[in-house]
Amino acid sequence: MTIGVKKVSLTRTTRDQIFLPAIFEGLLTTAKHFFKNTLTPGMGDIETIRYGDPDVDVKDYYPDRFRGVHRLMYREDGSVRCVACMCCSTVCPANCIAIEAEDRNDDREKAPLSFVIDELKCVVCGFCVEACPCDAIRMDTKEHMQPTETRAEAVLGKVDLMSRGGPSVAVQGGVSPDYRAEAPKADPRFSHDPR
Amino acid sequence: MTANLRYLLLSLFTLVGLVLPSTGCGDPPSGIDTQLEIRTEPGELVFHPETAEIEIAIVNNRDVDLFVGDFRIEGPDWQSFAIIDDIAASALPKGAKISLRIKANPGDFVGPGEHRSAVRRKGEASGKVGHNEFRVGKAQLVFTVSEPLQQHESFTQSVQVSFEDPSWWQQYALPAAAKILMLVMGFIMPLASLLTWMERKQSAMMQDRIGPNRANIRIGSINLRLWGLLHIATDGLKMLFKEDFIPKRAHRALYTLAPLFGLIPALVVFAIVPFGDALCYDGLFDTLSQADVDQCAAGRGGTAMQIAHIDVGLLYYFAIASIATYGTALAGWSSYNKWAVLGALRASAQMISYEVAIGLSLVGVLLVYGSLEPHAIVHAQMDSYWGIVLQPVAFILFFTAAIAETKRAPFDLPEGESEIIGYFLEYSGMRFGLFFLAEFIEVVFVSALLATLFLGGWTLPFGLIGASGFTSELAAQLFFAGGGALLTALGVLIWRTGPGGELVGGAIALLGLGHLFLATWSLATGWGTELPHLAIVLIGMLTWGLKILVLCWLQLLIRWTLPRFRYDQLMSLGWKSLLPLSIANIVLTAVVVFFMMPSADRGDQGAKPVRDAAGNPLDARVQLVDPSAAKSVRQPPTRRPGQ
Amino acid sequence: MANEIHPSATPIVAGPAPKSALTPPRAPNVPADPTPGEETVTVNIDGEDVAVRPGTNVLEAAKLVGKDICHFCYHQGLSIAASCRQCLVQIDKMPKLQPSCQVGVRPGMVVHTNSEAVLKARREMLEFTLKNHPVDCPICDKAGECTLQRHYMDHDHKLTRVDVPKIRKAKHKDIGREIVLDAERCILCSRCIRFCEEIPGTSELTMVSRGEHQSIDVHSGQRLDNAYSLNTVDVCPVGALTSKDFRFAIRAWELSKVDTTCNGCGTGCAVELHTKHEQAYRVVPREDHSVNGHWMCDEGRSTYKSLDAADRVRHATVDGEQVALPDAIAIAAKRLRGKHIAVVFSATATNEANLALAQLADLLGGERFVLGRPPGRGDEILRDRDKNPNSAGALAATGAVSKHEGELALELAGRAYEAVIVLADSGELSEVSLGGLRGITSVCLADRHTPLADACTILLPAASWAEVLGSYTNRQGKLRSVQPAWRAEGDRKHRADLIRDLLLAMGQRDVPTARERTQRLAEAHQHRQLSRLAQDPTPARPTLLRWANSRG
Repeated sequence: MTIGVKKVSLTRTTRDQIFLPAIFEGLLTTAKHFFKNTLTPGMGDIETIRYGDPDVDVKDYYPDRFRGVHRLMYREDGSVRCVACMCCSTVCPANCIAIEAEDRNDDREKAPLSFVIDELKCVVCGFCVEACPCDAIRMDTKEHMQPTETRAEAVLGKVDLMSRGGPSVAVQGGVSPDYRAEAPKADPRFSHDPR
Repeated sequence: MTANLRYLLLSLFTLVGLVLPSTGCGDPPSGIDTQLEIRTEPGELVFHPETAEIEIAIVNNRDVDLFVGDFRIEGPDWQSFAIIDDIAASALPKGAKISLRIKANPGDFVGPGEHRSAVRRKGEASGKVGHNEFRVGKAQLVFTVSEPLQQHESFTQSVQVSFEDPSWWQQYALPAAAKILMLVMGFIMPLASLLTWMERKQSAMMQDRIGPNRANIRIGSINLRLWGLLHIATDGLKMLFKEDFIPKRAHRALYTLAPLFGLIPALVVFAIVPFGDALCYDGLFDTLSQADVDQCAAGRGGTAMQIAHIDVGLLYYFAIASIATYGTALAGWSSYNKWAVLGALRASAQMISYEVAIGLSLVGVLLVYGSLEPHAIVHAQMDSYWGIVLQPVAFILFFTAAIAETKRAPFDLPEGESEIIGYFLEYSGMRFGLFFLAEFIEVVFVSALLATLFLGGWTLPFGLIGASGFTSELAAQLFFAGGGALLTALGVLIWRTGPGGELVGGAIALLGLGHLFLATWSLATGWGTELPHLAIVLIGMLTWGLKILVLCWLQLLIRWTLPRFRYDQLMSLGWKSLLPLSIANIVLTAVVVFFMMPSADRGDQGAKPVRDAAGNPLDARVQLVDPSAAKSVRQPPTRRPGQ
Repeated sequence: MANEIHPSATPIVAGPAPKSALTPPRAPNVPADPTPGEETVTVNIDGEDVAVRPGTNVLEAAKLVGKDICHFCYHQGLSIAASCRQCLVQIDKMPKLQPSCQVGVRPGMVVHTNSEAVLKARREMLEFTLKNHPVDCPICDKAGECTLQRHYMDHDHKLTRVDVPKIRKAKHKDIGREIVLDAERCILCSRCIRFCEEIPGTSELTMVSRGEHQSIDVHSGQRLDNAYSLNTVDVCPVGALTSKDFRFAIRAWELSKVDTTCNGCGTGCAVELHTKHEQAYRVVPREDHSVNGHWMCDEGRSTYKSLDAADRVRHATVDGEQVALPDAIAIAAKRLRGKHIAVVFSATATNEANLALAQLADLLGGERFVLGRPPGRGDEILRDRDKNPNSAGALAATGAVSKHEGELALELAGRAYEAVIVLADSGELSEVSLGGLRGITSVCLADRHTPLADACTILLPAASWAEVLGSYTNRQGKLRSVQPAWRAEGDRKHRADLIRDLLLAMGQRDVPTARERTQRLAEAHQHRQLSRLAQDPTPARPTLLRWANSRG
């Protein structure tokens, strides 16, 4: 069996050969876009969302499951929910979480002495949130990691992470209602007026 | 409703137009003459050592026929000037003009070193004038003007005649330096820098992106973004502070020189580009005639708006532009990098190939306008039609070849920034920045040359504006009405684009409204045919700059629209399409020009015989002009002496 | 010098026990694997016939066919309680499910370990066991190596059905010098109680209360302070007993392990060294029935602390100035030549290092000494009074003409020598002796900064016992292998290689490397494991414990 080859005739018309009509058509197309985008209200066809722009509130564009900068939740008494189980640092594919545990000598026994996330290493996969058994770490801030002057500024410590955090009433063992149901609305800092 | 509004606006403008002149804001022509003063072109005669003869025209711009006569030279140096072909009193009908030539004897003004005969006035110390220098000479051309029936009541009118020899720096160095500074620092560099931003912003706009918008200045709570314009500054700083890397085995001297070879020719060629007609130092706020301006353009009492008035003009451009090839070749070779050398070879081959097409495509233009000198070409376009009308093929050929010469897409094979990288592969920091800048300066230059040769330089289309103002009231009204409508619409559009646009859009719209007001005023008062010299100059320069800006925009549009040629396609386009087409254009143009030129000029006689339009030898004569054929209804007033 | 050890000659550093060899702790349950020529019993397990040693139980027999029957209370080294009922299996001709740990093999026995009934029993027993378990795995040190976790994942893996409050018991109760008790987590398997009764024989632990409230505790007035108490942590299948030392230090799954030998005393227990990122976290016993059975002492578990990164010797120093290692070697070689020299062997260094030093001593002449840690407490179980792991090997390398270390001290104090080369940094010398070292050319191959090391004028950076491949000879005369847990950092090198460099600098040729010495030793003593390690140019990397099953 022979393979049939479809031959496409490539006869060039005079119009093709002198280039100019096609060039003018092309220029017309691009110029149309140019003028539409510069002179019409609402930026014409440009649909870019300026993520990370401090002047632009892009949180409305984000889906609910958007993963932003991490935060650490706290209990009713204000102490951190994290118990330094290292599940997040274990599951982290980028090895960006470093936790040092301490013995609290109370009923909670274990707590993080330091909890450090290197946001430069973070690949924003959200595994840490999935792995956390205590609803301690979340990525629902809808915040982008802003560029920093030095690398050290992008390494967030426990205080930074908790400053973004909010109270969580989830009960360990998962007996309470789904913590996600009542989650971010508790903190007024994350309620923004929709445009 | 809209009609009512329109009427309301019109009457408002009309009211303002009527009220303003009476308050002295405008300069309406006064109907009361205390003297019978008529216009001379030029209004003042300036002789230089190399200028022996000047022709002066005396124009009857009154509503009545006049008699003029009794021409004589008076004043301290009366002996050193002479009227050639002295004429007696003659009638000068309405709108007619009489021309006569004045001669100066430069030998009379020579300083002590070569002091020959001359007139040494009393009390003048000989030591004041040095060797080989000329002293200043002053005199007046005096004549009488009278009405035909009242010749006993004649008025004497005088025209300033002077002889001066400005020093080298006064006549050449200072104006040239000023012009270079103004052009390079005030126009080319800002525009080239702007293009670095425009390139990215415009491409973004064409591709539905936002483009550069990050660089900002925060002053207190105000955050200035300016549509990313500050990226120009940040880019410059970045270039300056980047590591200045030189490959270990590079030829250090040539490696350093190569960017200069690219940049300097791009700047130097601007010397021949005229960015206006001429600037007269004394008459900035007077209405001047074309003869005045021509005298200034020749350097007497003013300066041409062109850095170097070189007769070979375009040949100079070809010569200098070809040096840029060395920049690319040396950059590639001195980098000690085989890919850079390959890029340099691509660049050199391309530039040399397209230089042929560039040169030949312009020959048609030269044939049509009969000059190599851009200033003269612009004047020739004023008198006939723009180059793009007479030489459309040459326009396209030259535009194509010039883009190839600047090495930009779709001819950016030497550079190939998106994948192959070219001759400046090893360059970094400001060395690379120079290449980058040179490229954009070339873009500006190509635009400038296109504007000069094909789009009438600084002139407005259809001869709307002349040396003394708009050529007619209608022209002024059309200009202001059209420009006003355009600007207002643009301003409103920009206003509506949203935050940040209000200020700029508002300003543009306001400008447009101002234009509309001027149009209305012109409609009401007939204003516009006589404008101060400065206004004419500014309008010319604005026109020139606007043309260049539009052409730059067009070049960027082309660069971001058309895909890159393959190298063989590039070469075949240059050699097999552009070159034959240019030659065909030359042949066709030559034939047409030959058959259309006056028969007297066809012979190979050297210089053209000096004659006027009627074919008479140059002489003091009365030329009758049909007043109805005059372009302007209202003649501009003569420049008042001493002003 | 009387003895002559030719570098290429086969060195014998191990042999018959120099001391009265102690018998290793008796394991009540030996592996079912029959020794050749022994009488066997054939049983059928899940359709597979297997010949086992008579007297073993079904659980051990099932291991032979690869069936790891899940269990909590059974431990090979302890007596059988059969209290957890987790190892129930179905045996033909028996009416009920039988605990496989307690049923001995009989000829013709047919066992089903995966039948429907067995699986159901296993699952339900597990759910029952978990009923009051707090499931506080996030803060439990056992998580990751917990038997309960493993069995839950393997056999149950269901959500809890418990909707009543769990019984609360004592949390983090301090019951001993090394041990913390969490009674809630305890599943009452009694392994720890049996250990304390059977191995150290101290019986501190017992069960208290009844029913759901039953829990383990120490007898009133007692504390779990015996010398082997940390073994209760190892045998605990859950996180009820945890080590204070290891508490919250690191999660078990982050650790890597390497099989090595304890260097705490002359017993040479087989141990695993657990490390992460070049830092040791703990030492746990490894099963070796010829030496230590399943156990080791608490004292040996703290030997990892000598690997602390803070006081490591990282660079060579000459007269207090840091110099490049080759330069230091050259200087040392130059200064040692032609001097009246004392060569100090080390009972804490490997055989390879001692043998290399013997070669140097042959070249230079000089007096030979053996230095080591001072003796400590011993007992009849595992602990030896001699706290050096390689006393026997060092003595063999010196050629048995060594002087007592006290003599060295005296002679150094009296400036009897012009130069001294010390193989290791351990050894307690008086301030006067150390002062003597400071005055003369003294070369020390140190891995830590100790008073002895700091007193020497030339310090060569040696690799610690967690960084070398080598061997010790224990008190039984057995060759014990030491494996590197990480690459020695900086200039640190095997002591044998450092001495080889010295010998080369002195113009010697064909000096074997440390690895070659190890290989020769292994061949000479038919030590298969050591031989394999030495031949492999890339020694086995530490195994990550992550998801690597449970201990206990």
